Amino acid sequence: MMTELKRVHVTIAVLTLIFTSSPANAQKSKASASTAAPASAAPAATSTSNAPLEIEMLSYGALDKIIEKIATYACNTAYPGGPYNGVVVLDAPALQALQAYDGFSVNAKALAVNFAAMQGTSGGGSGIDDFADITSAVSAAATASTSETSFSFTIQDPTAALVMLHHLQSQTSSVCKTAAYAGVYGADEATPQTLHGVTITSTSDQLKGLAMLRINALKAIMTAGQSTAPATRNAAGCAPVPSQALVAGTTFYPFPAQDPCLTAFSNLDTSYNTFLQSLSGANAATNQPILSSVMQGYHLRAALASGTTAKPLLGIYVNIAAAGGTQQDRKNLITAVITGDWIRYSGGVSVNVIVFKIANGATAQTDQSLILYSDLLRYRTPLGHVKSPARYDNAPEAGDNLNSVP
Amino acid sequence: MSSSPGALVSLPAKYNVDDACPGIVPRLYMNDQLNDCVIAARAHQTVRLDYNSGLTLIPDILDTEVANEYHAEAGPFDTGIVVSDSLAAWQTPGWFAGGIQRQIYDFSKPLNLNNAGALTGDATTDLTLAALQSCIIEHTGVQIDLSLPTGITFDNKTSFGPGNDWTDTTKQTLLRHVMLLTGYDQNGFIGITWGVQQHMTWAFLTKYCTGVYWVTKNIAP
Repeated sequence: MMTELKRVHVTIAVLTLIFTSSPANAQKSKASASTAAPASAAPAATSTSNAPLEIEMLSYGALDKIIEKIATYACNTAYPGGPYNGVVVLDAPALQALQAYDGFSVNAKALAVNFAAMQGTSGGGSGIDDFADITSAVSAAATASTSETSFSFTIQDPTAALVMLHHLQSQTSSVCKTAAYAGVYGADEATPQTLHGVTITSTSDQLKGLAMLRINALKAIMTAGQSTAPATRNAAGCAPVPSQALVAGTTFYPFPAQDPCLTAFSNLDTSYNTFLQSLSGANAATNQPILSSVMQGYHLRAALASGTTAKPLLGIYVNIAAAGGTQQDRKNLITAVITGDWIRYSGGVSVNVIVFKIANGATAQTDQSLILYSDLLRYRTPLGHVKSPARYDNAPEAGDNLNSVP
Repeated sequence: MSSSPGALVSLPAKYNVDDACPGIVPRLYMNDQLNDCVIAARAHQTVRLDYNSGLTLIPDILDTEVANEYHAEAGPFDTGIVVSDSLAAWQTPGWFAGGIQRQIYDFSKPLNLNNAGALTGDATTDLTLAALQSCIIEHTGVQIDLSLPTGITFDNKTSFGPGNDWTDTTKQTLLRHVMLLTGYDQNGFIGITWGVQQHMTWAFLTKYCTGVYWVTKNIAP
């Protein structure tokens, strides 16, 4: 009887040990948020993750599943809206570059209009260029998307686009196989594109044109200021009022330092110099020089402008909203005595996706661009283990790599 | 062709270049789309220069030729053109219009109109009413640079054209505009702008004109 009682006690004790989980038993749902560095949607120079590699791998696998699904949709289901002349993949940095170019152009045009007015141009030309197209809606949607602050780790922006390119190239459509991204949009500066009748002017041409307008404005007001003939003084937008006396030994009239016309030019010139200096700064989000973003934005803007109602483009925007995972660590008597901890991992990712058709008309009113699909797609793997690579040859387990020295 | 703005000895009571060019139909020359009056005025004068030099075939200046010249001169910002710079470009290298490259031989610097302000006293740059009339006859019209008063715009269709003579000199200036003056009559001057014939009084012209430019045609087309 005593023996049986002892056996029961031991059994209870063992079961208690087995089923009494250790403090590490609970899932750490996004547990590393408290220790992970805050991440943004912008690309980081290096990963800030301290999550286990297994979680990252599972999350990348989840990303792969989402992107494959979208690529298949874009190149098959969405295709009846075509035929498309090309596919353009966009992500957050690409949209930032696009906005950088549009902002640059608006600022440059504003300065140009003022320099032209001082020069005395006739005919107003056009107003400030408006590059609004379907990507404006995409940008708005991207800006309005929910931002998670508790990322376990950051998947850098180009990753989603690169995975998308991979899956597009796996499709049967020849158009999808040649999808364009980032610096490979291939705008031809010699034959510029137009959007709604507005020429998409390269960054270099705009800077050169602005410099010429500035010089010509200065020449015009100086010429006007040196004349007393009404028509010559009227030829420029304004003319400084010269002093009565010529500069000794010359044929030039001196101007008062506080002449309103010269002051107006000087103020405008200050804005011009500030504009130029701003191009040398770094983009706070990407750390790239702003001018680099602007130049990349030009190529993207030109590429998007090539989508017409007759030959539309298919745009795919992908942006990772959140990525993270769970590590489950189970401890009990068996793990303590025999097996060690039982650890399982789960990884997941949420991706903002917009698939849209770019079909610019001759005017904004005749555009046929539209959003074909948009959603925040999510995918989480079940708790499990990361398998060994297929055809694993144990090479990574080698204790040295001295044979690599020639 | 004289480079002097001096008046002819005997001026007709009224004159219009277009009276001798009945086949010329005023066109917009893309002024409505490019919002550019400088190349449009040049196109108007180009066809009249051809006609006046004995060519009976009116050059068919294409809209694309007008647009190409405008964009070449206006640069990447589409901010309009300085008329004196544009005349220099018309002289060298010229412009491709009606299928051929066309150049002018010479052009004036901006001339002052009497009453437009204090004259310089320089007979080569000051235009009296009679001198302007003479200049129109001698040079197959003249281009004028105006600072149009408020209210006169292309979008306001009742602000210009036949029946809407420009007479009011009380308003402030707003829009800088170049047009071709083709003649005059007892009521003032006649020009072509925004594709239609436009009358204006001498008072209006002297109030709002900021400069007058004549050109002389090259021997070749």
